[in-house]
Order: sequence, then structure tokens, then C-alpha cells
Amino acid sequence: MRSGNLKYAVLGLVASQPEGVHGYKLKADFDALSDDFWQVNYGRLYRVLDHLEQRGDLEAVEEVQSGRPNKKVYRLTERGRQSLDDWLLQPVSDDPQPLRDEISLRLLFLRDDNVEALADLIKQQRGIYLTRLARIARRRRKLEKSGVNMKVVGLIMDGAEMRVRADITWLEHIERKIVRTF
Amino acid sequence: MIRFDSVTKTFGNGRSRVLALEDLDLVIPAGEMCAIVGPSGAGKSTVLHLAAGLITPDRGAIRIADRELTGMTVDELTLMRRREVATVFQFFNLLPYLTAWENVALPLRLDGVGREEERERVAEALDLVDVGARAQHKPAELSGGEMQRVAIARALVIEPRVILADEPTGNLDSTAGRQVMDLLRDLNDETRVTIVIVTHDPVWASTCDRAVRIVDGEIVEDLSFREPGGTDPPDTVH
Amino acid sequence: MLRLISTISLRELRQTPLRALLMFSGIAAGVTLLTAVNIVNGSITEHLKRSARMLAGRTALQVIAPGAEQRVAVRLVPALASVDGVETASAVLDTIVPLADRPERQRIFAADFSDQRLAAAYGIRLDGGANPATLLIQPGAAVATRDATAAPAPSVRSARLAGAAGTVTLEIVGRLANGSPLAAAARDLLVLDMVEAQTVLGLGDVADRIDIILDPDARIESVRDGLYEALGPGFEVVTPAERGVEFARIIESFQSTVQAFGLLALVAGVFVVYSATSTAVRARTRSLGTLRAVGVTPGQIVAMLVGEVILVSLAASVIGAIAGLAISFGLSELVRETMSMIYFYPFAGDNPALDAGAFGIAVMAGTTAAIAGAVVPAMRTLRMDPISAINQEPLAVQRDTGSSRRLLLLALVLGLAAAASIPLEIRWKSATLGNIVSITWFIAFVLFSVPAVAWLATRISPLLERGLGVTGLIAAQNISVSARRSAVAVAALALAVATQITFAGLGHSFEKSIDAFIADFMNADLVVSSNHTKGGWLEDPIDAYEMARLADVEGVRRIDAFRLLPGQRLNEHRISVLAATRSFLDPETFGKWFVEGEPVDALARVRDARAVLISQTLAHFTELKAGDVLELPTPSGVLRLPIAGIIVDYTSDRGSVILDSATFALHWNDLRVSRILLHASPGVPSEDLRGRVTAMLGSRDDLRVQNHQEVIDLQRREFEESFKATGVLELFLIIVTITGIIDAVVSSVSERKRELALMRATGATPLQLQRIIMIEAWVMILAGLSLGIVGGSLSAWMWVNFHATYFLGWIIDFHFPWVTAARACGLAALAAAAAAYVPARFAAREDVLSAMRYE
Repeated sequence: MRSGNLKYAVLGLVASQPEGVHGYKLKADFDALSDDFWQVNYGRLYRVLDHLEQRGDLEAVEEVQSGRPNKKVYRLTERGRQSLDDWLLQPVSDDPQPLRDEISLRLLFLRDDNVEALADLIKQQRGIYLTRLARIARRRRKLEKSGVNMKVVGLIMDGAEMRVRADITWLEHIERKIVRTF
Repeated sequence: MIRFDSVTKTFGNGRSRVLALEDLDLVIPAGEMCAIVGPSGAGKSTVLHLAAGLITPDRGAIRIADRELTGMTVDELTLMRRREVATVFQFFNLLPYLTAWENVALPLRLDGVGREEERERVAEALDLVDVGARAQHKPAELSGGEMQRVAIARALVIEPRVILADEPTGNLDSTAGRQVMDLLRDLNDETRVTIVIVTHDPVWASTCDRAVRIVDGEIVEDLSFREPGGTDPPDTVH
Repeated sequence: MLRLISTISLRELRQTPLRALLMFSGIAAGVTLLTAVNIVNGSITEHLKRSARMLAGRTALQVIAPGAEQRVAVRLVPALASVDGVETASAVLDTIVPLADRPERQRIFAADFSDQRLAAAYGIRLDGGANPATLLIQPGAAVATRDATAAPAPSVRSARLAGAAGTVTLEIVGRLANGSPLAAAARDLLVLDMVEAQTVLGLGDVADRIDIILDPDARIESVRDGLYEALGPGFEVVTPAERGVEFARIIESFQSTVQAFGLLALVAGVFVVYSATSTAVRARTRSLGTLRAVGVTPGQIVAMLVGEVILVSLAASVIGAIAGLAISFGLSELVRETMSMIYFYPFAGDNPALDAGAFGIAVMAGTTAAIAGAVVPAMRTLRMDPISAINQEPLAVQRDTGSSRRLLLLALVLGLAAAASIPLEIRWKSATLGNIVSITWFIAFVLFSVPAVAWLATRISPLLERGLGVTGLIAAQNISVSARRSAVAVAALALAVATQITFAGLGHSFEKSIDAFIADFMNADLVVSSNHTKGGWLEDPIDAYEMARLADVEGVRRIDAFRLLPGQRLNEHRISVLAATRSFLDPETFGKWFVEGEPVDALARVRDARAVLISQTLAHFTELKAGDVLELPTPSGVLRLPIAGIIVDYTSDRGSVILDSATFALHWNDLRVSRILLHASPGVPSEDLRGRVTAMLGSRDDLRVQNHQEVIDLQRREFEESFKATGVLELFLIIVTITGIIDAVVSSVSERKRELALMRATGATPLQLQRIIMIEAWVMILAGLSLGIVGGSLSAWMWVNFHATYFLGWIIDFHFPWVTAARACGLAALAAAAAAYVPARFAAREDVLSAMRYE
């Protein structure tokens, strides 16, 4: 994920917790929301949080904990709300996506003798996608039960799900059109 | 547990003979929520109908909870459907002239359950599927999702060991479909009832514990969605 | 099971009220007719038995003369009273007298009430406790039941009867108390003293019978022997019960014929139920599949479907039984008239009432018919595949065409069995077997019509296409797709038409045969007879003295006479004696009716009292042949004469013996004649002769003079009166036709609702759809009519040639009832077309979108 978009994702997550959220919880939510294809580590997350705090999009309050280091709780500022709205309303970038998918590459070099290999690949890939869908499903249920406002988060989950579904549909399309006719 | 051993089933005869399942082996452990996926005409529904005892196999053995289905008489199979194995269909199959309540109460009435107990169990089932408020409505006055939930309540009310669902979301929009799938998922999580769902939608399949893919009457893929090593994915345990 | 029915079935029935109604009316119509027939039969039989028993009061034995209208001389009473064991002997008149002012008749009962004990013996008690004997012995006095025909209200104080010598006015001096046994025996009765009754009837000192009251300790059999000894030959001594039972036995075969028609109505009900259940099974396929899926066993489904039908049929039977009671009031009159005509006996009936027995039979019959109709289509669900049922594939429940070969075979087997039973029927002379044969035949015929219609549907489709274009083609396809159901509608229609034709064919053949016979037999310029009749077409006998007077009338060339005496006993048969004057017994009149024997010689021997003739019917029943010696008991001993020939004779259904008047007068000690036939001299117009004859008879208004044509016309009128019962059958025809066709059209429409909507969506106009449906209906109607005509003609032919002989006793020629057949067909076609029109119109105008969503 491009770092430009990451900061808005962080802003969005903080915005869904009006009473404030600390870094550790934020990371957990992020994982729940984004699954393994949208990785972010603590270091990167804290860098983004610092950056947003400096820009004045977030305000941080030190929370004193006994026997433990103090914990920072982040809240969305008025300026932060403005930045988020600006970003939400700006047109989506229409940069073409690179052909980085292995299947797409292999399709370009398809010959009679590697159809079977492609079939195996498709099967394998579908398995990966299904597993990914299963994770999304589990995340969604977990979030539903955790009391997160599902209005926004649900739409994000829907998007993730639809993309994977599209990929699966595409795989099945390839299967029908190519694997079976060769 | 549901167990298929070398089950073969054909339909029609002579030139129009169609092989629906060929030497199918399948084990669905008790408490599992299993999806059966595959292209249409692949034999998915046949598996379900065989398990429900609505049709009988040409060859092979089918066991449900250690009971052999193939040797059972039609009446025994019927009794099994009335008490242990409930079915949910794509087109809901509610009786149009009965209210939601009466539709749910039907299997209990067939079984001679007393009025008092009926009142209790039907109310519970309808509340569980969240259509308690619509109990006195007839199917025509319900939305698709509500109808399917009533159908699920009808399945639940017998406290079955197994629920067989044939494309339960096939006739619903995505929101209603999700509600139905969530309901089934919750049921499985909470009561450990074995659920087998036939679907062609990967999204719904992925909400199950496992997806078995059948193409041309054979299992081509068997995918578990549980975390490797663990009994259950940690985040589905409460 | 009950819960299943209460949960599912009641809603299902409420959901499809029309189907329930069809089933209901099919069963109700059948039960109505059957119940009405049973009630009428029962009321007549019961009345006969009971009144024979109860009118007798304390009477233990009755002395009667052989022959129904033979009377017994009162002078025999003292001799009988002195027989050992006899307490009292009482001469009784028990007969029917016409009213003076209205075309109605009154039954009268008379005994010698100057004997004070008799009023008590017959259980005569009056309202107010007056002494009946003292009241009755006053001249011109009578006692009546509460609502006697002659004095129908308490305020009516006199009764006017048409007596033998003109109008007689009787004073009603009292009313029979309701609890009085006599009143219970006959609700409609006028009680007179013997002398009074003899005066009214213009009789000498004779009675209808002599009742014997026994000493308390006397043994009935020894008294009977004593009586026989005192009486000499020619009399019969019977108990009242025996007499009732004998009457009941005589009319049994007629009643069973009437009952057969009632049963046929119920058979039609079976088809309606069959068809409605088939439709229900198809329309409810999906619900039934769902029930199977949630745990209803196939057996329970069948039980539920049959249970529903039982539910409907119970209601229908109850309503049918009540409706049957209602129409039995009208039917009773018609049946009694027909019976009076056939049996020469004035049948009366109790007020029709629905007792527990008749009600039970109605409910049983209705339910049995309903189950019979429902079981086959309900069983079809046993083979139902629940999966396709749930997915609502149209063929989930077997397509209803198959197994034509099996049906055809079954029809053939039944048909052959029926045909093969006819020789047995003839050998055993069994009316019951005839009944069975005829019903089996009808069933075979209906079974046959199923494959016949299926076959027809495939044959006519190119024809319909050529003639009516695509609408015709679609209609033909629809018929063949649900061939069996269409066939059942066709069969019901055919059955109704065939029943009508059978009955009418029988009546028509009967009428035509007798018509020809009477026209020939009564071939005289004028016929003189009594104005009174005891029932049937033949009048009371008149004194032979009139003959001598009439012979003297100027312009009379020749005078013939005959006497017909019904009820004569011959072994176990009740036959008639036909005594003809010598001049009447000429080859010109009788010649062409000879079946066996040489007319000229045979008639010569009969004229000389050296032989008798017997009727074909008698020969049939007794297996007597020409040349055999007939031994006929008469009041003065057994008459032994050889049989010279066998002739056709329609004067009696049980057979008759034809002999000469002199022999009759000698042996029966009776000089009376039934009819006198006058032939005018050449050149004398018959109207002139009539004028002279009427002038000579003068005040004898108990006699009537008719010319040849009038005799024939009267005969026809009487006949038509008697066969009024066909009207009921016509009603039945209409009901069956309407229900059958509505059912067929409604079910075919509801099954194809979606398909019809699709056709609308693709551009068919409502009118075109309506046309398709109406073409289907008309194909069914025409098929039903053709099958009905063929089947009805065959069955009428069979009835006339075989069964009629045992049911009614007549051997008659077959005449096809053109008029009735045409009317029945027209009526059925009209009713059917009207019945089809309404659902067709509705279906064609159904909202397209909602119909397409229909599932």
C-alpha cells in the first residue's frame, strides 16, 4: 500500500473511535481490517502517527499507567477531519496497475505443454483466494462482535471481498475458456 | 458425522443417463460447517439430497451419526428427516397458507409434540432467527430474507444433528444472504450442529470451516479454513 | 394424522374452494339421487309391509281369493268363524276410490262394525274417545284419519266420493286418534262400515278378504289347515306379514333397477372426485414435496389426501342425504305411478323420511365413492420424487398419460366378463346379476374411454391445426398432455349421456312395443270400459250384462270382450289370466303375435276350450313350451289344459295365460269383463255409433266409451306419466356434465396459468386464449357425446334384450330413443359449453405479470 494512502487509512481508523485510541489497539484494528495483503508494522505505523500529530491532524494525550510505560492516546482534530474529508472527496488515482500477477504473466507465455501446470496454478491460487475470503469473513465477524461501527468498516470489508471474488471469477473464467479447451 | 463411502448416483436411464456422483468418498465430522461448491450440474445438490435421504444412491454407503442410510425404509428416512436431519432450500419452501409460526411448528406437530412445548420451541426458534415479530404473517407478507430465516427456524425447531442447506442464499440479495449465512455460522459456533451448505458463491463458502469442490461428480478440491495445527481459528472462539 | 389434516388440509381446501366445491357437488349429486331412491323404495316397501301387518289389527290370518282383484263372498264368514280356534271372522274391504271433485283417490277400509268387538280388534280409537262402532253404523257415516285426502282438514265435515252409481257424500263423524294403531298403519284412510262401503263401490255382498282373529290359545298352523278345509280349493290363507313380504318381493326387482340408476349417479361422482384429486395432487406438488422434506411419510401424504376427500365427502353426503330427502317427496309420486302401471296395484308410500339406516347408507356410499375416486391419484404421490416436487418440475408427479394398455385390457376384461355373465343371467333369471352386469358394463365403458380419448387427442391434433390454426394445435396438445384427466371428464359426460339414453331407450322401446300391441289388440271402433281403475292402465271389471245390452245397439256388427285378471297364482309366480270371448280369439287379432304354434289351429282349440295360450313372458319364466299341459289353480279346482301356442302379450309383466271367456266364467265363477270392444256395421260412422251407445248407457257415468285413437292416446299419456322419472335423470345429467367440465377446464387452466400468461406476454390476445380453452372443452364435449351415444345405445340394447326381462318382466323390441337422445346431447352440450365458458373467460383475462409469478 502506498504510504500516501496509509496515512488516510490511519486517520479513518482513528476517526471511527471518537473517544480516542492508542497505538497498540490501532495496530490490532488495522490487522483485523486489512488482512495479510495489507501489511503494516509497528515502526511504520508509529512513524505515520508522529507525522500526523506534527501536521496537527491528530492530538496525542499521555495516559499514565502504573508499572508500565505511559501510553499515548490519539484523537482526531478538526484539521484531521478536514484532511480526511478532502482526501475522501478527491478523485481516485487512475494509474494503471502493473501486471505483477504471476498468472497474468504465465498466461502471456501459455503453450500446449504447460496448460496442466496452469490448471494446477489456478487451483492453488483459488485455494489461496478462498482462504483469504475465509480470513476476511472471520475478521468481519470479529469486528461485528467487537462493537466497531460497521457502516464504514463493513464497506471496506465488502470492497476487499469483492476484489477477491472478482479474482476468483476471473480464475474460473480462465479455467472455462482456456484450460478446458486446450 | 456424515460419511459417504464410494457413493455413485446416476439419473435417468438409457441414452439420457447422467452420472451425478462417481465413487464419492466424503467425511464431514460432527460439528463442522462444510460448504460444497462447484459449477452447476456438478453434483453438489445430489450430495445434499442423498444425505437427506430424499434420494438413494446406486452404489456405496452413506452414514449419518453411525447410522447406515442405505438400508433404511422410506418411513425410517422420513422419521430421520423429521427428527435429526433438517433441510433448508433455495426457494424457502414454506407452505403459503400457513403463518410463519405454523410453518415452523409443522415438524413438531407431525411428531405429536404437545401444544405447550410447541409454543416454547417455536417461539425460541423464531427469536433465534430474529423473525419473532413476524410470527403471525404468511409467507407472502415476508421478505425473501425473512422467509429463509423462517425456513431455518423450521429446521432448527427440531434441534437437529445436521442441517442441510441447498443454496440457502441463492434467491436472496447480498445483505439478506449475509444475514442468513451469519445466522448459520452463529448456529454452528454456538450449538456445534453439523451444517452442510451447497453454494456456488465463494464468499459464502469461505464463511464455512471447509469447502469441498465437486466437479463432474468428483471431489477436486478439499480446503480447510481452520488455522493449521489449531482445532479452531483462535478468533472464532469466544 | 389429524393434526396434519387440521393444519394443512383445511387451509388447502379453503385455498381452492372451487375444487372442493366440485368434489362436493359430485358426491352430493350421487348421494342425493341414491338416497332419494332408497328413501322412496324404503317408504313404499315399508308402507306395504307395515300396513299389511298393522291394518290387520289383531288378525292372525287372512283369507283371500286367488287373483288380486278377486273378491270373497261375505257369506263364507259364518263357516270360517266356526272353525276350531277362530274367535272372529271379519269380512274386510280395503280398496281405493276416486274422489268426486278432484282427480285424487282415497283409500277406504271397511269392516262390519255392527260387531262391537271389531273396532277394538282393528285398533280404531277416535279423538275425544267416542265409540267408533256406534258412530260408524249410522248410514252415510265415515271416520277419517287427521289429514285424509278426502277430508284434508278437521273443519271438513264431509267427503265426496265417485261411487259406482254416481257421487256419494259421506259425513265425517269422527277422526282417528293419532295414537290409534290403524292411524299409524295408514295415515291417509277413510273408515266405513261394510254395508256403506259396498254401496259406494256398487258391490254385492263381497269383501276383499276375510280376516281371522284367533282364540288366545289357538295354534296358527292348525287353524290354517282348518280354514283350508272349510274353504275348498282356490283360496289362500296367509298371515299379514307373509302378505307384506310377498308384495315386497314382487316389487324388489323393480326397486333394484331404480337403485341401479342411483348407483350410476354415484359412479359419476367417483369420476369427479378422481379428476379433482388428480388436479389437486398436481397443483400441490410443491407443498407435498416440502412436507416430504420436513418429515411427512409418503403414507401420511396419501392418508392426508384421502382424508381431505373423506372430509369433503362426509359433508357432501350429509347434504346429499338431506337433498335426497327433499327430492324424494317428488320422486316418490313418480316412482309410485310407474310401479302402479307395471304392477296393477295402487302403491302408497309413507311420508319420505330419513331414518338412521338410510342416512348411514348415504354417508357410507358417499364416502366409499369418494375414497374410490381419491385413492388412485393419491397413491400416485407415493412415487413422487420429492426433489423434483420441490423444484416444481412439471413431471414430478407422474405424467398422467401412461398405462393406456393396462386400462384397455381392464376395460376389455370387464366388458367380456359382463358379456359372459349374460347367459348366466338368462339361466338364473336373476335381476341382481343383471344389475351387476349392467354396472360392470358401464365401468368397462368408462375405463375404455380413457385410452380412447388419449388416442383421439393425438389423432385430431393435425385436424384441429388444419381447421383452426395454431389455437387448435395448442388445444389438442393440452388435451393429450393430461389425457387421463380429460378422459375422465369425457367419461363422466359420456356416462351421463349413456345413462340417459339407456333409460330413455328402455322406456321408448317399452312404449313403442306396447303401443303397437295395444293398437292391434284394441282394434275396434269403440271400446267400453269402467271409469275406475285400481292402478295401472286397465280399468276395473264391469258386469257382462252390459255386453248383452250393447249387442242390441243398432249398427253394432260384432262385439268382443276380454277380462284381465292379474295376481293369479301359478306355483311361485303371480301371473295374469286373459279371458277373451270366442269372436275375439280370431287369427286376425292374435295371429301375428304368435311366437310358437300355428295360429289358426291353436286359436280354434282355445275357442273350443280345449287348450290355452301362454305369453312369451310366462314361457320365459316358467320354461313352459307349446304342447305342455298347464295346471292352473282356480277357485273351483285345478284347470288342466294343453298349451297350444305362445304369443306376445303385454298385458302382464309376470306372464299371462290366455283362455276363452266361457272357461273363465266356469272356473272363476265370474262373469265380469274388463273391456268391451264394438265393431261398427259397414257404413256406420263410429261417431254415430258412439252417440247411440252413450245414449243407451245413459246414467252409467262410471263407464266410458272411447274410440280406437282415444284408447291409444290415453295409453300413451299414462305411459308418459309413468316415465316422468326420466326428468330426475336429466337433472342428474346436467349436474354431472357441469361439474365434470368445470373441473376439467378449471384444472387445466390452473395448471397452465404460467404458460397461458407467457402466451399472453408473447402476444396472444385474451380472445385467442379463451378460444384455445373453449376448443379443448368442445373437443371433450363432442368426444363425450359420441362415446355416450355409442355406449348408451349399446347398453340400451342390452337392457331391452336382456336385463329388462328380469327387471320389468317384459320382452320388448329395441327402438332407439331419437328424441330423448337428441335432447340429452343438446342439453349436455349446452351445459358443458356454459360450464367451460366462465373459467375460460377468467383465465384469458388474468393479469399477465401476476400469473407469471404464479408458482
